[in-house]
Amino acid sequence: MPTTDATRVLVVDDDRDIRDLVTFKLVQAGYEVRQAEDGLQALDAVREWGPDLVVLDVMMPGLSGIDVTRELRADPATAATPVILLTAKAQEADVETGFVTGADDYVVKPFSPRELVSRVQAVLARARR
Amino acid sequence: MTPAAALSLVIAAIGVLVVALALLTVARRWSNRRREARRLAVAEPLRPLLLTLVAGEPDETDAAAAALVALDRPRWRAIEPDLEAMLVKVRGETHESVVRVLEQRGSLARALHRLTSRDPVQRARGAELLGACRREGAAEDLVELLADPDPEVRTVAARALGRIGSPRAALPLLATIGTRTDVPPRIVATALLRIGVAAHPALVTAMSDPEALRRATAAEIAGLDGAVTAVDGLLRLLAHDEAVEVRIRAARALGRIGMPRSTPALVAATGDEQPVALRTVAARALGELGDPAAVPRLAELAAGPDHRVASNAAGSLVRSGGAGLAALSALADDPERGAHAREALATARLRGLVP
Repeated sequence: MPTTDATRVLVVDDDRDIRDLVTFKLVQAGYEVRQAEDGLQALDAVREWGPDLVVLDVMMPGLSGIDVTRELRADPATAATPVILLTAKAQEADVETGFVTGADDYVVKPFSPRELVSRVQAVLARARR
Repeated sequence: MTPAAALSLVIAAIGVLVVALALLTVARRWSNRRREARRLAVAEPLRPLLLTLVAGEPDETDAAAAALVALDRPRWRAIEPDLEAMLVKVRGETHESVVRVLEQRGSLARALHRLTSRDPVQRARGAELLGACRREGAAEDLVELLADPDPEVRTVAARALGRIGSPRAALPLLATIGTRTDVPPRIVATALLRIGVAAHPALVTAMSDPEALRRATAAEIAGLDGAVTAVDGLLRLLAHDEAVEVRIRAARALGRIGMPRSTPALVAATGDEQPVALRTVAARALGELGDPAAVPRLAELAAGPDHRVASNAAGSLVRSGGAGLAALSALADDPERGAHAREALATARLRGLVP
């Protein structure tokens, strides 16, 4: 359950650098952030913590970002949670699948941390409308 | 010594050697792990500095950069690999700020120096870093590395040139294909696609190369990158090249680029006298163009005896608008020659492409 009034963002990536980088930038922007290293951890964290948005890497060992998005959308409790996919340029074909499964936006790696924060703000604003 | 005793001695010696090698491997791994653990222990407290550099506000970034540049040698050596790893994860100003720190600490000069090392691992590491830093000034040295005797080094150099995106690397990259010291065409293609539009003139030039594999690769990349300026060259390859493989790649590329003026040449490539593999690809490429002018020929092909050509032609009719669908529906009513048309229509209905 949420413990503060700050907007909660879950960052999911198997690469520690990416997790820390995104977390650093989002915390700086005033968000409350938690991290998950893989798809299963991400699903647990979403159900337990109830983030307002999930930043999700597409290519992860085990459950991919696409699989996680599909799972989130299939569960009425998490179906409305906005998802931003992080994808390598070579995986842009996955983006289409990502949108079909219900992702709200995507950011291509390598990315600009500032741009990612703008995307997070835009998706959250859209979700609140 | 009896032969049996000699054999036992040899077996025992081999056994000792195997055990010694296994122990050596374990010891090396343990030593590497310890070294990495020591590095991480020193680097961990510096991580906030690294994150501030790549994700901080401009004034914070400047301060973090100054602090990193001022680090003593042991601490710099501990954090340097983490900084290098960041290069391929961020872009824009963030990427530049990392490169500037590496430049000020002499990492780029060392990487350039490594390119001439006798150790191929060092040469590859140097090339990797220069590519990740995307420094145009390093392109010339990396082009030289395309002729390196070590295949891994050549591959890393090709990737690095792609990352840098230097147009002057395009022809040398293509020139490696089919040589004694070649780079896999897939790696060359990826590098050229990264260079993008600036590589298109080199692709056109390579379409006149005496080496068929180079012409074929140039054609393929031109199609993948939508090189409109290469259409004339591709039309020439499709019509006249001596190698069927090159003509096939040209047909596929023309389909991907999608210029309607390619229709007559692609229709000609579906001629009954042409190789089946070329006719098959040309029939599909016509569908990518979606030009109604190709519908009569596609309808003939869809009713033809070769199932690969007919199947592709029927699929292309689906993508050729109302005229294509009308021709397909008419053909589907033919009980003897309409099997591929019926299949294409059924598939299109399942995909929701037609009512």
